[in-house]
Amino acid sequence: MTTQANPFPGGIHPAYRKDLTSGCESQPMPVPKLLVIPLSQHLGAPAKVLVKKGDAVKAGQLIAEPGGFISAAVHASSSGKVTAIGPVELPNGQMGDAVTIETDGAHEWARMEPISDPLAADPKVLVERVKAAGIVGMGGATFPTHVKLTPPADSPVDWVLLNGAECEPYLTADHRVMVERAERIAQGVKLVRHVMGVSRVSVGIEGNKPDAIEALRRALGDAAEVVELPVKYPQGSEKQLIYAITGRRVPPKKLPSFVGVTVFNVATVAAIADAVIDGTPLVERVVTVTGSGVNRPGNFRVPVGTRVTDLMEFAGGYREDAAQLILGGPMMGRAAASDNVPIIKGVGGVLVLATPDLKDLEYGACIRCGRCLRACPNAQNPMLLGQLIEKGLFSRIDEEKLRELVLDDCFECGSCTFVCPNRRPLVQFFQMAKGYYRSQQKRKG
Amino acid sequence: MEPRSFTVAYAPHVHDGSSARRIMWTVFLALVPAAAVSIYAFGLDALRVLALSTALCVAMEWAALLIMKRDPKACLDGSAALTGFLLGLTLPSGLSNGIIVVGAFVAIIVAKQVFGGLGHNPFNPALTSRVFLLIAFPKQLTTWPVPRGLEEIKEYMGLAVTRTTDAVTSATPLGAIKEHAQKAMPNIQLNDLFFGVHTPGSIGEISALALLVGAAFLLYKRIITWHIPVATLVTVAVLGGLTHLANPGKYADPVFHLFAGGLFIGAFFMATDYVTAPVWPLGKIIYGFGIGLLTMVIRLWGGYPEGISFAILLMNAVTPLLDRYTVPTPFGSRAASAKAAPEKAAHEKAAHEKAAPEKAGGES
Amino acid sequence: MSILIPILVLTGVGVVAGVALAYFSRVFYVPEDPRVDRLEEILPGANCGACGFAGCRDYAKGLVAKNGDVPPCPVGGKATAEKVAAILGVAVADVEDQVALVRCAGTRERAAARGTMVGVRDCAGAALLGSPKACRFGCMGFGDCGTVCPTKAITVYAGGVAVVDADLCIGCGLCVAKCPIDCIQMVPKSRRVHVLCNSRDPALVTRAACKVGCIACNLCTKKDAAFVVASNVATFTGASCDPEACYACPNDVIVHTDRYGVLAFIESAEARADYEAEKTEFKEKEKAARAAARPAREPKNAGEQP
Repeated sequence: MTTQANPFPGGIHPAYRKDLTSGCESQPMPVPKLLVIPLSQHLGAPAKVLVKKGDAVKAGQLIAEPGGFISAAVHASSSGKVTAIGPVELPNGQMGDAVTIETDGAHEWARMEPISDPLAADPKVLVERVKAAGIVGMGGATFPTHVKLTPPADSPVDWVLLNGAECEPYLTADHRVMVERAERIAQGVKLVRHVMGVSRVSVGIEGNKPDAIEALRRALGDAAEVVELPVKYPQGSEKQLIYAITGRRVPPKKLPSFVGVTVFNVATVAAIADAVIDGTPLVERVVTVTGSGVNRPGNFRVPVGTRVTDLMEFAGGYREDAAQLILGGPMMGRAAASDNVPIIKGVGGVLVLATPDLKDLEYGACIRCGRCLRACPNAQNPMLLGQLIEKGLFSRIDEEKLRELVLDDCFECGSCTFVCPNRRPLVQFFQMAKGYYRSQQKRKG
Repeated sequence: MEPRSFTVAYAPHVHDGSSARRIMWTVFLALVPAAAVSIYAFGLDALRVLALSTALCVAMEWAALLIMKRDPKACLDGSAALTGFLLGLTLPSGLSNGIIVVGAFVAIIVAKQVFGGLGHNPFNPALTSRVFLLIAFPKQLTTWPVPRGLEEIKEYMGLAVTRTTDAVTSATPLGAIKEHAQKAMPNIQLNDLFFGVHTPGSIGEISALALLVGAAFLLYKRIITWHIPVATLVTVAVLGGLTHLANPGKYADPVFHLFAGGLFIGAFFMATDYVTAPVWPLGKIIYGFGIGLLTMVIRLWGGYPEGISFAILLMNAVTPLLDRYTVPTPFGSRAASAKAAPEKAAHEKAAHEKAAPEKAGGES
Repeated sequence: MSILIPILVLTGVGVVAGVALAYFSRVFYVPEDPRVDRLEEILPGANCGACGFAGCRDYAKGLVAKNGDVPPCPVGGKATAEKVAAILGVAVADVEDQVALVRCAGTRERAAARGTMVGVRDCAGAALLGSPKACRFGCMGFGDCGTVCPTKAITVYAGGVAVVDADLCIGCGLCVAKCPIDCIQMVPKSRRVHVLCNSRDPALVTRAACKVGCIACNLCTKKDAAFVVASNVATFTGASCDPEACYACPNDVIVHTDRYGVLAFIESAEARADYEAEKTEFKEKEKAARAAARPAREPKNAGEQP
C-alpha cells in the first residue's frame, strides 16, 4: 500500500545543485591528528565529562555521560590521549566545553557487546543500548534518540516515519546513507518497530533521489513503505513531513507524539542498528563537502570531532575566492567565522560559497507584496511580524496575537527571507523577537 | 592547514534573485503597449504628459528623501517612476505642465512620503493625486482632446464636439452615456473601445487590448494574482448585465462597461498595487468585489461619469480591516487539529486494543 | 442693524458655553492628591521610564499610592530622593548618583576581529551570530545603546566602541538593559578610576583577542585594595586612588579620569601617547629608586674566590 503525499502550503524551489555530490560515494576520512569533541552536541543538558587531562582513551570509549534526562552520552572517535578539556567555539557560534584528543593513529576500538537476537530482546534493553551509544537526531535537531523511542504514556505512537527528504539544497549526506547503507537502515527499522511496538513505518524520500527510493524499497520489502515526496523546501521539516505522509496536523507548540507519530532521520536509524548489532556508538557520520568555494565536492565519512580545517585539507582544500563557510545547508546552516570548529553529530554539510555567490545583503522597507506569505510552509504572516519587530512594536505584536500564532510556530526555515524582493532579514527579526520574549520571561520569572 | 577566516552573515545564505526594482520596472514594461497606443492616438502631447509626470515624481521623491535625511539614491528604485507613469496615464493628453507639477507633488509628497515613504502609504498615490486634480481643476481634467483621425468630426457618440483655436475636444464614451444616454447609446462602437485608437479618454484607458496584453504579461510573471482583477471585472459585468436587462435604454450593456473608461487599467494596474491592497486571497476577492460595486454605483447613479478612482481609494481604506479579518487558518492550528481529533481518538482506541492482546498474549 | 442679531446670538452661545464649562469643571472634578503635583515638580522630568513607571507624573502617582515604597529615581539621585522623602514624610531612599560606563576600550586597531561580519545593522542582530570581535565580552559597536539613550549621551566613535559622556548621562540605566552582552555597567558618579574591560575569558584567550584586555594579573590589586579581581577581570570598587597605581597595569586598561577623560583615553592617539610617556617616565623613576635603595656592591678583588 503506497500513500499519496499531501502537499503542504507554501514552500520554495531553490536551485538545488545536488548534482555536485549526489553521485559521489562516501569516502572514509583517515582519523586526523586532533579531535575536538564537544560535550554538548545535542539538545538538552551538556554531557558530564568522565575523563581528565592526560587520560588515554580508545575509539568508542565513553568520555562523558548524559547530564540529565534530556541529554546524551559522548564517546571518543578514535584512540589517543586527552590533551585538554576546555571551551571551544562550536558550529553554532557559541562557546562550549570540549575534550581535545591527540590521536595515536592506532585507532584501537573499545566497542560495546553486540546484542544477539535483538528482535527477541526486551525493548528496554535496546533503548538502554541506544542511550549508551549516545545516539541523537542526526538530521540536525540532535534530540536524544533514546528519549524519542520512549514517548510518554499519554501520547502513544502508532506510526513511525523515517525522514529521508533532505530538502536543503546542496546536501547529499542522507542520500548517500540511503543508497550505501539501505540494508542497515532496514535492520534499524525492524529494531525501531520492535522497541516502539508500532505496526506502521513509512520512509519519506523526495523524488529527486530515485536511486535511494529504489535501494530502500528493495531493502525494506514489507517492513516499511517508501513514500515518494514532492521536491519542495522544506519538505523535510517534521510537521510538514508528517502531514505529507499521514495527513495529520501537529498543532502549534505540540510534539509529533501528540498525533501519534514519531519521526527519525534515516542516518539516526542506521546508527541505532550499528549500536545494537555491532556495538558501535555514534562516533562517525557522513558529511557533504560542497559549494563553489571547494576544489573537489564530495561526501565523506568523518569522525565526530574532526575540525573543519582538517576535513577540508583531506577533501581537497578551498578555492582562491572562497568567502563563506556554512555548516549545514544554505537555508538554515550557520556561517562560521573560522574553520577551526569541530564537526559534531548534527552537522551534515560543509558548504563553502565563493565571493560571486554571496547574497546581496542591502535591504529596504516592506512593500507588502505578500510573497513571504505565499512561501511560508506554516501559512503564516511573516510580513506583518517582520514590520512590527523592525520597529520594536512588541506591544502590538502581543495585541494581534502574532506571538502565539506566528512566532511560536516558526521554525526559521528561511522560505520567507528567500523570496523577499527587498531582501529583508525576516528570520533574524524573528530570532531577535524570540530572544526579546525569552529575556522578558526571565525578568518576570 | 592553517585555520582560515570567513565572512559571517545571517541565514539563509541564498536568495531567489527577485528584487523590488525589477518588479517595478516589469510593471512599467507592461504599461508600455497602452502608452504606445496613446502616443499614436494623441501625438507627442501624450508623451509630454507621461515623461513629465514620471520625471517630476522621481524628482519630488529625491527632494523628499533629501529633506528627511534618508538615502536620496532610493528615488531610483522604480517606485516613484512607476507612480509618475501611472499618474500620467490617468490624465488627459492636453493637460498643462503646471497642473502636472501639482499632481506630482500630491502623489509623492502628500500621498506617499508624508506617511513614511515606500510601503507605508494607506492610499494609492497615483489615484490620490488624480482625484485631487479632478476636484481642484475640474475643467482641465475633463477636457479630452479627440484622437487622431477624428479632428474633422462634428459629433462624437451623438454629442457635439467643442472646437477651439487650440484643440478639438469631446466627451469620453462614459461621459457621453452619462450626459445623454439616449443619444449616445446607439453610437457605441465596441471595436473602437477594444482597440482604442479612435477613442477619446485619458492616456492609459483608451485601449482595452493593449492593457490586456500588459496584464497577461504581469500575470505570467506572477507579479499580480488573478483575485483582484477577476473579482472586480466579474462584479462590474454582473451589475452591468443586471441593469442593462432591467432598462436597456438607460443602462449600457456589460461589455461596454468592461471596455470603456479606466476599468481595465484600474483593475489590473491600480487596484493590484501591493502597498494598498489586501494580502490574503479572500481579502483580495472582497476588495475586488467592493471596487466593482462602487465603480458601477458611481458610473450609473453618481455625479461622475467614471468611478473607478474613487472606488479604489475607498476600498484602500478598507484594506487594513480585510487584512485583519480574512487571515487564513495557519497550518496545524486549533481549527485544523479539531478535524484531526476524531482521527486521534480512533488511533488511540486502536493503540489500546493493540496493547490489550499483547498483555493477554504474553511475549510476541 | 441686522448685524445685531448675529452678535447677540454668538454672545449668547458664548455665555451659555462658558457657564456650562464652569459647571462641568466642578461636577466632573477628579480629586487628586495635591502631593502628586508637588512631587512631579521636584522630579527630574526626563520621562525615561527607568523607574518602571510611564513617565514622571506616573511615578509621582505611584509614590503617593505606595507611600514611597517604590524603586528610587535613578536619574534624580540623592537630591531628588531627599526632596521626595520630605514631601511624603518617609525615610530617605538609599540611592547614589550613578552614570553608565561602557567597560571596553577594544577599538578596531586593538581588538582582533572574528571573521568578517556583513549585513548586520544592530547589536541585537550581531549577538545572534556571535560577536564581530574575537572577544565575546567586548563592545560590538553597532550602537543599540545610543538609540535608547534619552539624552544622547552614548556615541559610537570612529574606533568602533561606544563611549558614555558622563556629563550628559542621567543614570537611567536603559542602555544597560539594552546591551546584549552586558558590557555597560552603572558606576557611582563620584568614581574616578575605571577598569575598561569586561572580558571574563582566561588570560591567554584575552591576550590573543585584544591588546588592551584585562588578564587578571593582579598587579593592580597589590597597589590598591579597592581593585578587586573576579571572573578573570579586575574592577575598581572605590572612589579614587593614586593615579600612579594605574601604571601598574601592563595592558593599559585602567583610566584615571582626573588625568584623562574616558573618551580621550579610548579614542585619542595623542592622549595614549601622553599616557605612554608618563608611564615610561614613572617606571624609569621607580627603577632608579629601586637601584638607589639597593646596598652598594664591593668591587671584586682580583684572585679572591667568590
